[in-house]
Amino acid sequence: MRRHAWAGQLGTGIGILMLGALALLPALASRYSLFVAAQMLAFLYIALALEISHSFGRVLSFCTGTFFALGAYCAFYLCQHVTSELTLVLLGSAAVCAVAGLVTAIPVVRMKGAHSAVVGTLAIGAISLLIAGSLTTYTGGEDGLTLRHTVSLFGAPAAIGVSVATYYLVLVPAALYLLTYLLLRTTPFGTVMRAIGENEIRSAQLGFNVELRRIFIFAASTAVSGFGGAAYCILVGHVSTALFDPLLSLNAVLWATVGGLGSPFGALIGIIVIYPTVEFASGVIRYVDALVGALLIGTALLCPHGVMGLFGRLADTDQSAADAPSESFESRDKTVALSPGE
Amino acid sequence: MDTVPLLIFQCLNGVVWGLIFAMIVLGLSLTFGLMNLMNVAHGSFYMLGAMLTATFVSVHGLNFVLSVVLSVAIVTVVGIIINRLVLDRVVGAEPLIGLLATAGLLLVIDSCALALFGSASISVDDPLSASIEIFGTFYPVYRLVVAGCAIAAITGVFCFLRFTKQGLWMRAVPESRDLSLMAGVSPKRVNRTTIILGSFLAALAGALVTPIASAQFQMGLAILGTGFIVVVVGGAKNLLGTVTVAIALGVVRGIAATFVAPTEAEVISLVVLLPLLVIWPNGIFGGRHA
Repeated sequence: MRRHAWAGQLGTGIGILMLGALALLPALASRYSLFVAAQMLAFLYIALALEISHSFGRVLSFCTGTFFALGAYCAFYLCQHVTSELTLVLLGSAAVCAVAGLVTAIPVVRMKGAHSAVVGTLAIGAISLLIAGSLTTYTGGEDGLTLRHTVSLFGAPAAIGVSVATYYLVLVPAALYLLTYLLLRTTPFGTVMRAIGENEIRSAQLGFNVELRRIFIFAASTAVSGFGGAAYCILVGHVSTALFDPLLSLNAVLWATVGGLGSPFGALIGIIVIYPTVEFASGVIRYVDALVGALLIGTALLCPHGVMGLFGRLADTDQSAADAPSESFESRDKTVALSPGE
Repeated sequence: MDTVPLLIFQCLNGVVWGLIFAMIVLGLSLTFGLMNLMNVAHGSFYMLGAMLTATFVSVHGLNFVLSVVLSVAIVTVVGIIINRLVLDRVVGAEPLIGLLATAGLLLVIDSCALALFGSASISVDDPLSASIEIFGTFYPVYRLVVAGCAIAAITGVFCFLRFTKQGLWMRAVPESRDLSLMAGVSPKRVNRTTIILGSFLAALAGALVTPIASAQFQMGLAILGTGFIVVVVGGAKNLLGTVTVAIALGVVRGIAATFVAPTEAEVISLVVLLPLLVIWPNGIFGGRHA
């Protein structure tokens, strides 16, 4: 057997390189490119949230977009009525989403039937869209609300919209999360979190409170999504009920899956591959959702484990995936479950 | 309108909507329970049935019944093609892969519908334009005809599954795929029959609903969340449970719509169902244990 150990880390390496390129972008790119990249970074948080809830919480959440929208509206109202400091706005929005996520997580994590958790999150997304559509006084409906307010960043005057300062405000927390993931994944804490994500029964046998941890993981994922929503509100200066569209959550699934679920660098690679492509295509093709759909079908049929999965296969060229030695906690007789108890 | 007649009217409406919804979710339940596939694109079959019927009647001036027959036939053929090209390749794979592929199908079909029919709602006139008095309330005859058609279609599917050889195969394959294969039953053929039944029911529901609610290219997406929740609460492999929950949901929504706005009634009906996913993870007819 010939193993290319370096290939196993290729995805992570490329992810780090991409982070470096994103850090240099303001010095090199045009204003429009910076605007697209900043929006992409805000949406990256939804893909990261999906990755967290799926990999560590065993819930393929279809309501990450809902918490993104909630975060955006929180940022709008925090800016209008509470504080003009952008860092506090971001953290406050994430905290509100974490609390809402905690309340949501309690029933979602307990949904143990086949696909129940997925269906539960789908239903939560549908309910949120209906509620947001009916509360037009507060949400502004599809026309939305525009943020016109003087803001500050670390005490210095700042402006709503994409600038170098707001770009880094969105990039740095994402980069910190990705690097913290790298540092923590081999620590006992990281090992336990991966174990819960891969086999909750064995983890419970080892004495870990699996349900409680999964509740907090789901809440953490909603906080990440809400942070992204708040960042989007700051970058765009406009929020509307269109953010509650379930298609946003579907896009998050696409980004995370194209990159490869199982590593946050997969979400980063996925969104960097897909988002600019779709953005560029939307200027050429009128019905860009058809392209997104075709990409989803293509990924499912040709590359179901995404880019990271391809690197994983490259790491083990002479042995089939089924025979390959694995560090996984997952039992061989079960595929990755969409919800607990499957 | 007084509260009591309004309540009767809304209850009747709830039953009719419940039966229409039962037709849609029955197909969803078949693919979910028999093929173990979360077909996110199922709502698109319903949307296509509605859009085609509305276009045939309102744009091309075709007879309503002929339009329904044509629409259902076209959507069923679309279902067969989709099954051949995509679904057949993801059945039996990890659930996530099926979910991804069908989500992609949803986007492709809805975008094609947007390109072909446009984003505006298309309405169709009531083909019967008559009302009948029930408990002092005048109720449109067409809606009762739709209820009758839905009952006939649902009963037909139950009879097909219970009394035909194909139906027996459809029930046998999910129990043991390998054993069925050894007995000469082709799982691919069974999957195709399941998709034909599912797309037929969804398209029929969509076609019949056009004189009641106008057709719009996103109407399939709108019923998706509720559809899946009904399937799980009813029990993924329990078709009778699914139909019962769908009708009950329609009645709850109808009663709620007497007192609150329709959107709020929809929220209430969904919120009522959510705890049931926690209490009965296998559905209300499937026991408490997952």
